[in-house]
Amino acid sequence: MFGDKLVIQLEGARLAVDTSAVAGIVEVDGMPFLPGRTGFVSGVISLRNEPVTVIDLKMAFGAWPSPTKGTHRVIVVRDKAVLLGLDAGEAPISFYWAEELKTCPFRKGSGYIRGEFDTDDGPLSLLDWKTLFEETTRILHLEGGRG
Amino acid sequence: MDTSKYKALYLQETNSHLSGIEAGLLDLEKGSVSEVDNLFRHYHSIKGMSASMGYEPLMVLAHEEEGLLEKIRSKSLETTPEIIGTLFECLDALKRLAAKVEADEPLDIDISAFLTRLKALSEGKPSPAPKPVFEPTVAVQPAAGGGGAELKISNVMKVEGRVFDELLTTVGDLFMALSSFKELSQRSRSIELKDGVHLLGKSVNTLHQNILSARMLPIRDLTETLPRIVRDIANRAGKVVDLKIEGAEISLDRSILEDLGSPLVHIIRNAVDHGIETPNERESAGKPRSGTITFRAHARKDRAVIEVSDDGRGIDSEKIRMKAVEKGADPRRVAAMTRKEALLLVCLPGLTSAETVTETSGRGVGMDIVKAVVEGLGGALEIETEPGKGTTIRMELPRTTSIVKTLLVTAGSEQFLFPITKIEKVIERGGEAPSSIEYAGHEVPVVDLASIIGLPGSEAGPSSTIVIVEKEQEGEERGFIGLKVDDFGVELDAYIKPLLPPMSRLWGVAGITIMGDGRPVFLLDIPQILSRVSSRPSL
Repeated sequence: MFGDKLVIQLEGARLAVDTSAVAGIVEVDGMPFLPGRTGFVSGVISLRNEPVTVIDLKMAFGAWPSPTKGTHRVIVVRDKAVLLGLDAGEAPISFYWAEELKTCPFRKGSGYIRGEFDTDDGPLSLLDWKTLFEETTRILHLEGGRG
Repeated sequence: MDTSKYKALYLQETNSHLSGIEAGLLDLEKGSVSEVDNLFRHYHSIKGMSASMGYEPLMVLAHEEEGLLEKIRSKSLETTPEIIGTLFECLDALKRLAAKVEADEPLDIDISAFLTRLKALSEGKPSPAPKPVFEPTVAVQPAAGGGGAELKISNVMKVEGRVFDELLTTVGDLFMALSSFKELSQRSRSIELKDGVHLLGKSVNTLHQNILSARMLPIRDLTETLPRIVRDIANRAGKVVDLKIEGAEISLDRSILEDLGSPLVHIIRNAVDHGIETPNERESAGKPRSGTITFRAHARKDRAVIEVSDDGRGIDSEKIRMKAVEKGADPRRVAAMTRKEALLLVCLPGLTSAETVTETSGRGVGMDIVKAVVEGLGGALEIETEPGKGTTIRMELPRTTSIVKTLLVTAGSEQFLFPITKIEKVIERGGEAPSSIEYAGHEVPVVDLASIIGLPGSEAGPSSTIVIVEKEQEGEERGFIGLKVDDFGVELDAYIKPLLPPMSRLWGVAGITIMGDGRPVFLLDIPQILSRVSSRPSL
């Protein structure tokens, strides 16, 4: 919970993921096509020869989707065989260190947010990327079933 | 019966038992009587396997030794140095015989002296004077200049399946690296680089072929336990069922066979429980009291087709439609389905309840799992049925995993891999693509691949490319469909990765590869695409 965090500065929200879950950051020009992509599921990329399904973070949180053309900065998170790409578009990326978070109050969250730290710079939402992964699986299963 | 194909397995097992006997005799010599049981099992196994393979001298000798150990086990005899010495000599004889089996030589060693001595010892009589037949396997004094030859190891190795899985993954990575090198060499003017990449490609291909052949196992490995499974399920259900197995010599990649085990048991269980009628019901229907399940496998191009048929009551497709609608399926969609598609509704998870099983004359139990596994392996599932006559579940599967010969095609703005085995012909012609084309005496409808996949089509160019594929259809007559693509590129030996969650159920694609430049490209699932094309009202 209080480990080092990678922070994605979206418009109106700061999302954090544990740095220990980050497998890599990939920059792509235009998001490669994923059959049946819909909702916030936006495409597929590769990281070290492994395919990674990508979701659009802005869209997952109810904002406008990133354009499919242009630069996409994708943060790939991994837990064992589970891989997911978080498309941050061109949003700035920074870090928040465990030491800084130790003193910050933490509230439990819901949905795709595990919880929220009250930091000096404002709220920092800890992303529940595994729930996002499950939702992505559900969406693509539904689309696959529509075949 | 031709047993030669089992020789490697026989030798592997026998050599393992011979090593066990050697270790056991050494312990017995030190006074460990508890070893007798283990020794007995080793001799018994060698006897049984040798009898099955027709290696009589090995069988007879192991039988006599087993007899002597039985006396020791039942405490009718006590272990003596003479007994142990004789057993060691007999062990050497067994080793010599096994070596002759391995070298395909006649088993012409005279074992009569050993048999006489073993019999005498079993009866508690002093054994006749030893008659040297050959030098012991392990020489006390190493032969001058030839030390070490006696410590021969088997040509057959036991290797964990995991090692082959890792080897195949490594070859896959090599293919991807090769793909990058190929791209580099195409852009380069260096002859040395081009030659090097060519040689690397040849070596990677050879390595891949060798690993694939080492991973292939006959379907028999999977089916040999089926008779017992059928017997047990039939007994529990109060039914009489014969099982026929055909084509079990067809080989498949170990990982595919491994995954097929559970679906196969599901299908067999459904056939016995719900397909085959009780003996009385069958008699009333004018059928033999005993039902028949036929397992049949055959090769079709680079794929294997596995069918499980029964001569039971069949499935009522109309009841399946009704049940699917009751469970929430869209009535218009269900009504528009062909009979073949409607039968596949039994694979919906909601239809796998016991109630459904009864009302729809069976099936459905676990069929969702069966379909998911078969499709996960890059295969396709089909059901054929005739009420009152029986049902056939057909699985078409790749025989090997990973490397697939493909053609790179462009549809809309995206590239895909088209499996070459599915292509009948690629036709390029000037002007816009027609709505149908003449091929092999057939009027072949042409459809736009991009629109089928859900991609925006591109503007018509000066020429069009049509990939002709054969569609599966009932009856003998062949049928074709032309898929219009925007362009086609090179042929590729693509290392195909399975689609894992969250992509495991994507429609229209069967796998994914990563190109030399890091781009992911999907392998098209042609049977699935054709099934959608065929269901279009205009076709």
